[in-house]
Amino acid sequence: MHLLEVKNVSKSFQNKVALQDVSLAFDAHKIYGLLGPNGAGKTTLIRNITQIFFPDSGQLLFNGEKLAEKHQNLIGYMPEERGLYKKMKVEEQLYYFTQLRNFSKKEATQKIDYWLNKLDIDSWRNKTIEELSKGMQQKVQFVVTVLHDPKLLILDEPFSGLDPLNAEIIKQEIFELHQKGTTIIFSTHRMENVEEICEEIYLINEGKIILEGNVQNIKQQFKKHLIRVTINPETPINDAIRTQTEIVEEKNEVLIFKLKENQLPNDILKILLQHQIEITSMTEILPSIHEIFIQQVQEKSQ
Amino acid sequence: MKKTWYIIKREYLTRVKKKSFLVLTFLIPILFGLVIIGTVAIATSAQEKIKIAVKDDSGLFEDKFRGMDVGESLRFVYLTGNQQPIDSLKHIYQNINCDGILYIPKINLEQPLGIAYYSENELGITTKEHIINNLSDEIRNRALSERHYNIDTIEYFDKKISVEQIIDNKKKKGSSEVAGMFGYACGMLIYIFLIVYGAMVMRSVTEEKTNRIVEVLVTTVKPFQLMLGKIIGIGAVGLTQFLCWGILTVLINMLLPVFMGDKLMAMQAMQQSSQMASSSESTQMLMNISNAFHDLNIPRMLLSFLFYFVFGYLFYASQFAAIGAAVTDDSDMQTFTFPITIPIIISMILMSATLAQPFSNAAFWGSVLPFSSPIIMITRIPFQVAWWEQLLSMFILVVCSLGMVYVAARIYRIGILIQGKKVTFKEIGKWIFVK
Repeated sequence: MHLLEVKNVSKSFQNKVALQDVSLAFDAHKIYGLLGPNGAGKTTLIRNITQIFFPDSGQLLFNGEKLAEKHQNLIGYMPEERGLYKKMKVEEQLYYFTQLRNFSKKEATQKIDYWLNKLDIDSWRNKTIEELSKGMQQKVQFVVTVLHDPKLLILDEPFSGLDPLNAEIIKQEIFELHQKGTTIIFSTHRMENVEEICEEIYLINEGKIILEGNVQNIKQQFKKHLIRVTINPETPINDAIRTQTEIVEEKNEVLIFKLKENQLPNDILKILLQHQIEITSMTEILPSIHEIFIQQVQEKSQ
Repeated sequence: MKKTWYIIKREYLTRVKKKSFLVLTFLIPILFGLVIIGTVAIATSAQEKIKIAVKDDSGLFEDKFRGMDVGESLRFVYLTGNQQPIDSLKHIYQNINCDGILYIPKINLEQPLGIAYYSENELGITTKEHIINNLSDEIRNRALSERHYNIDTIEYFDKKISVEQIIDNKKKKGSSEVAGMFGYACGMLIYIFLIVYGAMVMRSVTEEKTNRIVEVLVTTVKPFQLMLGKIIGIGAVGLTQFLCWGILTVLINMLLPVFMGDKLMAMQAMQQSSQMASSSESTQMLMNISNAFHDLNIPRMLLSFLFYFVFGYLFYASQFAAIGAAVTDDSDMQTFTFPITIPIIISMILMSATLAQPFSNAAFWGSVLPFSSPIIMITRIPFQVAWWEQLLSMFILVVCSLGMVYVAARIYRIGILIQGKKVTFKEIGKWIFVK
């Protein structure tokens, strides 16, 4: 059973279709990337999951049950544009949010203490938000999102505006939550994070899912059968090799071969070895998610 | 419900704990009290303690000057039998411990000229008036009796005419001016409250929207709870402020006589004596005021005030909340608040018309329609509005304010999530019907 299942969900606003028959599923213990250009429908989808909006048709299931108000406490959401009460103290603010999630005072205090210590902001608990640096504020925002131990964590561009040091701290926290079994959905258009963090992706464009699956599988699926080989320049390739293979790029000692039909990387290796070429390295070139993203979005919009 | 309560609590506490709130709530009544103390202090200290010698060559005013005895502030010493001419007396009045000398020559009652006061210091206004009143009364009486008019008869006819109003077989003692003043004050308070606290609700909604905290909040609470919590929380701040002002004003009024009782007494006595001497007009007015308060149904007035205060606020604050949610930038805010402030301003204009004619058609409709009833009805109640009219107005206001909360909530729930887009009235209208 999936943790969260979105079944044939459609949602339109006055003059715009935001989601069109979207179906997707999120399983426990996994990190998902929800990718798409601006205005693709990512935020609308998330707002359906967080029950800010309700779908025009289709349904959402959480643990097999129809998504309802009682599931709100199992979901944590950090919007892209962060917001906290500027004049409120860190501790008061966190306490307010735990109250809205119906925590007892004792539980709330325990959790607040735990997270403030963990992110090393304990000494700031009596400062107002406007006294904190931007990085500090974002840490507090993160605590607000995870304070209630959500089963599903939705992070909209969690690293935007963070310096590398704080970004790393947050990243480690995310991995730790993942280890503990939290399902994480990243909504982003920053591809470098996706490859590093996500296991599965959904690519959404113009209200439809245009690509989905495991990150590695998708890369395999879109690979252009290119092999990068580095050779010792003292043993240059000869014409015999050129006739047997297709070289698409040649720069000093680096060669890029395109595999012909039914040709395997090993075949290239064999040919090179036959001609006594000294090989220092060989790798298969896989497309980056960034490239796939751009290619897919452009293809679909044409 | 519990969540709404937490929101109310936060909205209330963050505002009540603010320095500006404390300053406004406690400083204003204290300042008010200080102004009263200051006036009393100045008025009493300015009151002269003087002794005036009277040299009466006409012999008409023997023992006719009434002293203002309280605090021995004004005393007269008659120099009867002293044959010295005024030219020498005017230099030696200090020898008999007097502050000045009042000289009345042998005067012609037709043309009483030549009365003079010699002193080093000028007389205060009250004292001067007191003396002039005494002189003119006496001269008038003498002139009349010389022509053989009966003074008693003349005084008998010299009566102020008043028209007593009998409404519903009950004698109404107070004047309608006083009822009007009271109604005006209450209407004005509600007007200020609607404008100030309505704007506060709007600003607070816009603030949450622009700093995006609302996106986090709506994942845990319903937009309706959020809006209601805000409206109630801020309204409670307003009620607290009015309550504090009320209590402090009463306290200060009670404490004032303790600290400066003698001075207040002196001032009252001074006012009374000068009023008795001049005319009974102001005493009549004072009587009117106390009678009017007697006439006013105070519990009805207070409960009605509370009612119109609460529901009028609900009616307008929800509109302000909806506008706050719909707009993002300040220039838009002004365009959108204009249409909702207009009825409030019209109510203010209608209020003057109501005071002049509390039972006119305009006043009736103004006090029944929800846009103006919180201000107009409270202005009319001191004029003994019929119960059915008030109940009708209350019923309409309750229904309309609840309806307005519902409509506002529908606009609010969509508005708060819309960013960076200019909205039109047409669009906002559509939001009401969006599922």
